[in-house]
Amino acid sequence: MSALRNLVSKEIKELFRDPKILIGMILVSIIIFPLLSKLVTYSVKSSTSLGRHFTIGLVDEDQTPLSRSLREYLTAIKNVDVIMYASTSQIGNLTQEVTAIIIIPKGFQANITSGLRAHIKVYTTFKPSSIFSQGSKGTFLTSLLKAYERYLSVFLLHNVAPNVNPSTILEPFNIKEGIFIKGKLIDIHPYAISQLLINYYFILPYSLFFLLLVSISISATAMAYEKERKTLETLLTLPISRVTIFLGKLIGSIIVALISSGAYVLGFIYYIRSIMNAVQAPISAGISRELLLKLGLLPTKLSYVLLSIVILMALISAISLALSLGAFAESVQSAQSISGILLPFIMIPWFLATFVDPSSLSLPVRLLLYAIPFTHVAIATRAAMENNYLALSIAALYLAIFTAIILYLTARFFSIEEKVLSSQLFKRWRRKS
Amino acid sequence: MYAIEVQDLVKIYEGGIKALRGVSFNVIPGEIFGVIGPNGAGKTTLMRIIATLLKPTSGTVKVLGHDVVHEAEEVRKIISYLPEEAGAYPNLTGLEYLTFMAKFYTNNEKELQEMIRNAARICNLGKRLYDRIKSYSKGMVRRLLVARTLMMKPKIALLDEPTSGLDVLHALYIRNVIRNYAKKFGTTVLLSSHNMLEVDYLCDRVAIINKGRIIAIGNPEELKEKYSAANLEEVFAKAVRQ
Repeated sequence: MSALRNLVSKEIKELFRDPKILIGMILVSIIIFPLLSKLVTYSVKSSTSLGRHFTIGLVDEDQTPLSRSLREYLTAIKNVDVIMYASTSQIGNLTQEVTAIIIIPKGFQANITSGLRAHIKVYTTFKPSSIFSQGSKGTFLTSLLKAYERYLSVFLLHNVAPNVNPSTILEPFNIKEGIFIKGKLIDIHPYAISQLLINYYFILPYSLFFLLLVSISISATAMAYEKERKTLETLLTLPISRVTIFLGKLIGSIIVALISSGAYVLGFIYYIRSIMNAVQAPISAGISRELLLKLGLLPTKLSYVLLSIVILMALISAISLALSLGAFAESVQSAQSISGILLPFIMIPWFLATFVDPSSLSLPVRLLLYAIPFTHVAIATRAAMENNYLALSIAALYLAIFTAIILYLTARFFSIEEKVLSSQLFKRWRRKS
Repeated sequence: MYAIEVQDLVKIYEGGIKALRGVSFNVIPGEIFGVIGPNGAGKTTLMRIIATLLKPTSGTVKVLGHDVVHEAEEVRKIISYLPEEAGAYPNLTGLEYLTFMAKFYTNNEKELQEMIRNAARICNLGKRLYDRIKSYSKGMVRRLLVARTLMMKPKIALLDEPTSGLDVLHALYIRNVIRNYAKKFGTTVLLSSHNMLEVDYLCDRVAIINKGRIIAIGNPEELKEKYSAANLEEVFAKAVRQ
């Protein structure tokens, strides 16, 4: 045990002191994501109405009491400046920068009072440098005009039918949204639920996917580092078993991968939440975890336990495979290329299982998909949400059997020194290919 | 019992390269035995087989009576091997590296500290032991590795080109350390080198190896006398011609 602890401690020290991991995977995640979220939040906020100053060029071709009331309405809005132009011909000589130009065409009032639909033209100033805020500028102006439109509708209705509440004509009914789940009608807005469940349905699977990729990347290079630094020969002549060396690498890689991807995932969650909050204020407040649990929308403790087994098994088997493949490489660079062999077996089933309903696939494709062990991680995350214990147990069992086989083969492989020491097999394979 | 007993050792690599073609010799406990020969003679293959890293194609090697193929784990408890092109973990400090290595040989804190003190004396790196190995020169790394090999007072030390990469003064220093260590602690040393003057200075007995075969074996003085040579280089040249 002390030899194993010694090896694991060395692995962790070495990996964490490696600038590629410390800076590239941990510090960058912790620093870049919050920084990125601040930048995105700032740009989102600055491109929306909040705190933004608008200068509107208004061309009133109608010159009627109604067009004047629209002008007064716009002028009264905080953060909006209105510059008047007598006609569109003056626009070409604009000296002041405007956010948009609003044209009230002739006949605006006449159309409205005679029961016809009138038109207002809105032109937002286009600059290639402000391409991202272009849409939000237009949306903001449209929402201002919509508010005026409603005010005008109320005014007109009041003139036509003074005894009727205009709201009951404009909005004769309200829509109250809810969800229908497991035979129950629940008065919770679907968006509020999805806002809450995004952690589970998006961030959790994404984090697991990332964790597997990081683990493979770290462990595939673990043996190559030893070869490249010429430390492997010494290590293999120490009074410790090959299996202990392998376990040291395995545990060290798992710990470093967990910490690195943990930092990444924390940074990523912070980033996603910041952006979501900036775009739309959370409306999920008031929905308790207990309610979600009661509705069966969150995994139970048993689901978590089964899912944890699946994740652990997937990690061990992925790292064992990567360690074995990496042992054929002579350098870190070639180890990274070799570990690329594993990536399609993680990415393709992952995307298929996450975004495609497996039952919609043909039987041979489905069987092929299910035969790939890492598909079961994606299946298990989905099953955990639905508390489908049978699917979770099958995934855990399948991955446990696969992991046991991989561990046995890897332990056997690492017990043959010459294979670990040389890359003969890989060289032969490369020559053939 | 011999410290190392090599019998008819043959190693043929994949692709048919014959690195060793029937090598036999014995090393007596406590002696410094040198294997000399040009590059590609089979010295490193021989060392790797004795160090349990490679399996022989045929023949046997016993280390203090333990077979290197069938009792590899026992052999690893006895030997300490310094490969020719060895490196150390660049992100550890010299002290951390020595501590990491020493922990495989003892669980006793007192023994551990004694080993580290030994290593510090051998490598003579002083305060630089607290620096990361990546800041060391090639010579400093080699001194650290020699110290790592000898710090646990092994019964058998396998040193493949121990002074490679060292300047004249440090090479001389390391040679003295090896010599004194063997004498003081009774360590058997099997040393390979293509530096024949080094072997002449250090070894009690020498085997000259060429193209996978031992072409001469004996005490350096005996060999010089036998081949009427002034030094081992001349012995080698004459032995190859015969």
